[in-house]
Amino acid sequence: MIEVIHAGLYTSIQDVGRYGYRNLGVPLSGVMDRQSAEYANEILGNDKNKALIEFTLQGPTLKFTLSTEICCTGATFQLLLNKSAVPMNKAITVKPGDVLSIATTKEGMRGYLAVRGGIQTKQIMGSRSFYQGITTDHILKKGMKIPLHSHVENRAAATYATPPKPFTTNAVEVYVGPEFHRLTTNVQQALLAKSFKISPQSNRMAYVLESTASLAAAEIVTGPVQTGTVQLTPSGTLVVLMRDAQTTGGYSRVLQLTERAISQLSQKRGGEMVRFELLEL
Amino acid sequence: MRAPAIHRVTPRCLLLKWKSAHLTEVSEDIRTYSDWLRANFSSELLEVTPAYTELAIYLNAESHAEPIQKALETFSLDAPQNNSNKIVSRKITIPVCYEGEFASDIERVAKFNQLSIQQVIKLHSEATYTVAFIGFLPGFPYVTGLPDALHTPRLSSPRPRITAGSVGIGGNQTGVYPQDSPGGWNIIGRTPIPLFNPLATSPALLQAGDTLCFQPIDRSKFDDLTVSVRKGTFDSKIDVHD
Repeated sequence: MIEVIHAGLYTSIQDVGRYGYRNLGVPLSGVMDRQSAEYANEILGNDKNKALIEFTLQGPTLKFTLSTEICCTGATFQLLLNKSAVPMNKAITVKPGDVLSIATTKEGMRGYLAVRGGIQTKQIMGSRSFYQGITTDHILKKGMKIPLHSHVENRAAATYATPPKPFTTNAVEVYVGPEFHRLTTNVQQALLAKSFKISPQSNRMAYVLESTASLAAAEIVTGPVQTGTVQLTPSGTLVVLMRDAQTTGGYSRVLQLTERAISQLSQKRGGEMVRFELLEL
Repeated sequence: MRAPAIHRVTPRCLLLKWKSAHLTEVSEDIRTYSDWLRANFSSELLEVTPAYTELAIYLNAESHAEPIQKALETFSLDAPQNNSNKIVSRKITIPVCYEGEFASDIERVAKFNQLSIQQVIKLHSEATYTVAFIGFLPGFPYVTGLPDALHTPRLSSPRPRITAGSVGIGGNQTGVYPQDSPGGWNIIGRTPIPLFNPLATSPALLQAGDTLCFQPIDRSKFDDLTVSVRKGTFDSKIDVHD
């Protein structure tokens, strides 16, 4: 078991998401940065869809009540195990009573803590991903106890997982969205040429981009939207839908992020700039 | 049956779009395509998600949109003009208390449409609605069939918290909030019946294609139903017919 000593700023349990219920209006949820989460599981020899702990800007403090292996990936957080520094991106052995403190990160947004065998909270509608209205809790709280596999088998010497390509650029890869061709040529060009500042109100549901350009698009008859859909509102706000996004929406869908671009954007903070780079399908 | 335009959105997502003057015109076609896709591509599909005039097709990581796009083009050409598949439809009656604290905006709706409150309740509860699709929130039905006489603009600024079960009117739409959420619709009543339960075998009470009716109940009936919902003895009235 893991006991939550401090919850951190915004910490939740996530797996790859809750699939098969979008026709009931249920968001996918799941890890924001899929690339980092899969890497953490891979280092521990877990299936890549195992549930893990996702934390944001300020990590949690966690106490382990059993022996297991853990691994932290994602943004470069400072980690202390019983007050001694331990590295990110490596398997770490923990024993009963050990306390892991995950501090802050100077760059990036989100980190992941994977545990051998995965977090064992109850699956609801096929997933352990926290989401308000589906799971009992939507964030970790002080005093919570998180179930783990009590018996972890020995495993063969670690296979060295390949580190994912770091997100070094501000260019976010996109396809054209269903309403892109309805935009005026000026708006199309501005969307693909300008850089946009990420608003601090961005969260797991959506990243909001502040645009200085005079962009706008008409509302549409409500249609399906997905993670990575870039909506343009009549007042000129760009909204990039993220993992907890609704399943349908009424704003013009002007661009669509690639899967890798969604992970990349989820590591960017309010105030950072991004620009869109168009890919051909 | 009408054939949709097929758009490839990503390597693993197709969007079917129907041209339609009215929101209700193509809902049967969308259901025919959904059923056909589920029957023929179950190993490629993550899921399909309908809306008023569109159907999104989401594929799993091992699949690619191209062969399914080709198959869809052929299906569109070969599809029978009259849909021969019998579509099973369900009729669901939702009890609504249109009184007091549950109906904070019913007066606004009445005034805007120059009706009495009793006329608003009569019009809203005597109409027959169709669930076009579920979206926005888990279990939130997008419903067609609101009488013109009840169309009322949304509130100028949304309320931060609408209680689960609230029945509202927003523009030409009506619906029920399945959980507490912010919202900008005019609230005219509340149902004690849960629309969404993540622990149930069928988590959502409503599904696309359902016929929906609202039945007025008074406050004491609302309280009785609330108790039977809590005890687990309440059973929603669902009529299934071909």
